[in-house]
Amino acid sequence: MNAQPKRTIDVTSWAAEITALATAAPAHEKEAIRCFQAAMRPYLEDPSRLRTLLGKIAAPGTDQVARLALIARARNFVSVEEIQNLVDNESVQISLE
Amino acid sequence: MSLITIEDETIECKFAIPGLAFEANVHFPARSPLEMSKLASSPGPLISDYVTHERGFAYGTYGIHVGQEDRLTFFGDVEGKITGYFVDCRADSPARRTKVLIEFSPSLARRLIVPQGVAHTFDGLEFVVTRDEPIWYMDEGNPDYNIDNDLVSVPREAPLEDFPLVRVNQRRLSDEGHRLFSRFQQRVLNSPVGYSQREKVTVAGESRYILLSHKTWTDRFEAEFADLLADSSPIQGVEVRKNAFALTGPNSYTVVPSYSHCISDVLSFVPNLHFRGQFKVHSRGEVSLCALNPVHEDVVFDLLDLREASPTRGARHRLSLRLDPRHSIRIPAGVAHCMDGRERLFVRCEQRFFVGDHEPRLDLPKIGSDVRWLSAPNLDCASEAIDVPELELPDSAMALLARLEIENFSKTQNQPGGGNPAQWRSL
Repeated sequence: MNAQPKRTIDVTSWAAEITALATAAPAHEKEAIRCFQAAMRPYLEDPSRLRTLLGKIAAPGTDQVARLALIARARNFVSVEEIQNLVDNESVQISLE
Repeated sequence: MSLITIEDETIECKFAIPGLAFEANVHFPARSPLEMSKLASSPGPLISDYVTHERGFAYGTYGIHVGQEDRLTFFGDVEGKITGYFVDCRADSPARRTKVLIEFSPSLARRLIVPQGVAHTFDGLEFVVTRDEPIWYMDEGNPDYNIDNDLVSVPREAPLEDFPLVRVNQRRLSDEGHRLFSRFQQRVLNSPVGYSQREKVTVAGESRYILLSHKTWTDRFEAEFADLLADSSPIQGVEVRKNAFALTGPNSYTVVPSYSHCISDVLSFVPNLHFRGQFKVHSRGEVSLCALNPVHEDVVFDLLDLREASPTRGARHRLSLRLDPRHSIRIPAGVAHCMDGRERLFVRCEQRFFVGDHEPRLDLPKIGSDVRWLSAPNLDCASEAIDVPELELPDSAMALLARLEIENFSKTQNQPGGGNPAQWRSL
């Protein structure tokens, strides 16, 4: 699959900050923080995967992304490569989560 | 499916989808066009993000958040009409796949609560700014949850039976956890990127998620604002700074907090009417101002350094600025400022407060009441000199101040007749 754009995000301290948060938290808050820690773990192990850490509704679907999304929803792909072949490298990037 | 029309006077309202509701904001309305109205934080973790919507903006999908409750305030042209579409996609909801349509106008006075697991989309958002005060929930092993992109997309034309049923996260993150997560967002978005569309696909019989990202949303920010950022003002500490933001359209932005405390207010005013040539100065507060709505003319900042110990004491500088959601102007405590502009602004105001090491300082106003107005012809830097304090209030104290403001507002609202509006502005 096409790689996401590389950005240098320094996450060196992040694991320690989450651990400190968990340590200081009262008992009833620890489980949520532990889940937060687990959710962040893949991104702390590979910070290049980080993009936004946001939850927003998707961008306006009036261009190639919208067309790709329509195709992607409608088909049962045999392989990851099949998805990759949909990509117009100039305007859209597809990455597998 | 009938459309529910929400009147402008309606502040609180519930709907057939459990948890979907309008609630009252902590809003201090202006009593005259000369005044500034203020929208303060809502009760909760006190985090505010802002989403701008460009000309022609239109959503192509519904979005479902699995780990985020949205608390949305819409501001812009109060004559405008927004239509919201909602479908309950929570697997365990008694109202699953219930659809609700709501029509309403932008208003600072109310916020719309959209629970996690409720698919939502909107029409009519062109030039509208949305404040989101998210509440985040965590869980483990939820296949629909991605902390880097909490979105499940559903086509707008999908029939109700095709809306997915999702398992929502259950464990609310602590307020401190919210602030840590927001600080992570700030660090990530210091290098802006486009927000990706997340779609569920089937590969070899297995459900997977893919991310579709626009490569053509080239952000011209660095080129456009290089001069502005490099050389803001000769007055020490006055600077124009880049915000942390993501692109949620070619010219639409999601702006996240600049400070570690994550707290901001929204101020609505017309600079010419509010300032009328007078200078405003904070003795204890640094302000960071960011205009969220489209602005077509430069705003002129007339700045005067009144700080006793400043190397630029007495310096005066006029800065002409085309305000933009992607940057903020930071004005230190003790620097008086007058703004000149004809357009109504919706401004994100972030602050840091400072105290001295020997309080109470009788020569300074109290925190939250530290605004003074100075008349330009009578400005005498020597007599108006301010010995600004230097100890920054920690984030916990900033949060306490914000909560006190919310509590005071609630008390005055519960008084017969809603209380004296003059009492609302307690902080």
